Amino acid sequence: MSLDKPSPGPSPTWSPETRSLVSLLIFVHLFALFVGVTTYARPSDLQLRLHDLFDPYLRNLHFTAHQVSYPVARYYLTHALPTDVDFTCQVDFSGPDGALQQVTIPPTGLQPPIRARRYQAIANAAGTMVDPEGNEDIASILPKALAGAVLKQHGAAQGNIRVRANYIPQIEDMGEVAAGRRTPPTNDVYEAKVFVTGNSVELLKKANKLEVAPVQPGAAPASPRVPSPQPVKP
Amino acid sequence: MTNQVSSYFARLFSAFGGGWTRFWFTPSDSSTLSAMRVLVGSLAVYLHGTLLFDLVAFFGPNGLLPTAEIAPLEGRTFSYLNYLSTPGELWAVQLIGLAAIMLFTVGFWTRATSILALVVFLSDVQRAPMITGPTEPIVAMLLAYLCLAPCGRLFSVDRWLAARRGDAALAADSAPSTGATIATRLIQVHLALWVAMMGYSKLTGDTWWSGLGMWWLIARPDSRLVDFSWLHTTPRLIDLWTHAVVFFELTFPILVWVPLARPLLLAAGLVIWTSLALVTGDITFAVALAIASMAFVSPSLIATPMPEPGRLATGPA
Repeated sequence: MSLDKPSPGPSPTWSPETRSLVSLLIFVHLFALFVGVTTYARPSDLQLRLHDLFDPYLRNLHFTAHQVSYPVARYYLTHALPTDVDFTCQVDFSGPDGALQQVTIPPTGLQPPIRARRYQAIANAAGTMVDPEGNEDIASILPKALAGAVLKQHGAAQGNIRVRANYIPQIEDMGEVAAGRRTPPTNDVYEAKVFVTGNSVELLKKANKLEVAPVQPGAAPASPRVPSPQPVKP
Repeated sequence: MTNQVSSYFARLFSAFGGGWTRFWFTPSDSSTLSAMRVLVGSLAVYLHGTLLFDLVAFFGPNGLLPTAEIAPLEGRTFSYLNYLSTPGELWAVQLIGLAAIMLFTVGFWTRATSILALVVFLSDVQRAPMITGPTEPIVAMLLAYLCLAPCGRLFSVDRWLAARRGDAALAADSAPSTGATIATRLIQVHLALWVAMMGYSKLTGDTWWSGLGMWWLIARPDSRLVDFSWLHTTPRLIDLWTHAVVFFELTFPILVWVPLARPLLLAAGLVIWTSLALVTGDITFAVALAIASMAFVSPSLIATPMPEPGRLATGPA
């Protein structure tokens, strides 16, 4: 953190030819990087085409901020939108003894905390990919994988998966939430029946619940300012 | 008039060329990068090591993230973990990977282990990008650029071994390096771009303009380290916090290049990123940004007194 004027320092030791070649590489790299970073928010068609050009380079080095395959806000710290909420995935099934069991992702009590963050990231990815006007095949990938894994681990042949959005209280409502007079709203944004036959997993999705108002039984009516449960578009 | 125009462009290109050469190719000390190697290596050990707890739960047989199922979400990326599924294979390969990152951290065969550490870390990330967060792009960037520099010169087993041998190569490795300059500059530019993106993307919606951006982070109940939701009684403080974050993220990429402002910007960065860590619980993200910011710290502040007389502690910071 030098505050003084930079000293002349040693002279460049590389030959001009080497410097020219490396300069070209640096320029191309920085251009690709600029494209990868600026396509995060509202990219133009030109930016998207340029991103496609550099996609293998940017993706394999994990240099791009653009969501190429799926619209999951992994960089929510740059957004913190009202719709950028945490989700939970619940898998219900009957165990071998016939007792109803439930597995929730993320599980509670994981240490160190980064483990919980990873499970939370999976649940958030599953939740944010649910889009009533989006690609149904993409939306079902993670619920199918998660429910299939849970059912196989517990030897169950069928069950239900529910993806729930846990909305954040408005700042104006926080006084009532803190006093216990209001519960932060939740909404089941995805629900499906899951069947396991051998290694095969089949998913039968129930009606899309995104249009349902996010109200919990027993809770006071949600504020009309509660964000509509739309998936995050980074 | 034509002569004046051509003269102007000749001077412009000459000045730009000279500036470019000084910026990228003036050899510099790699002390700062050596310290960054230890820190980012430790962070990578933590990220990779904690993944071992859930290795089989995520990637094993009947794991939550089977390769075939989630392939459409991964895109065209490479991860050697895509080819492993049995618990034995996964554990063996991941423990070897952990060893590689640890060797890089302590600076043993640093040139080779820096590349290995990058491959191991990127394989973790590309196997299941949906379990990653904002930390991983920063760590990947640091690991990638440290491959270009002699970052094992200080605080390393390599250095210790060379000193024990009385190796002549030690003296050469202590000399200012163009690779160190290029790596440092790439980290600086990349970090500035990343922070600019964070600030720019905040301006694309209403949340951060309205002063409520921080509230939506504060009010997330599951991940925070400290519960600041009592601030709902003083919304103007939340407004101030929100605007401070945006102001910092928009000014950092510009003012950090001004030597006089740089210490203030780096100190402000520590405050802002620590506050975000407390609110979101994402400590690793704040740590990664703090480590990346070290690229702006002059090597003369990092270097220990060196035995070679007349050694230059020059740096691009």
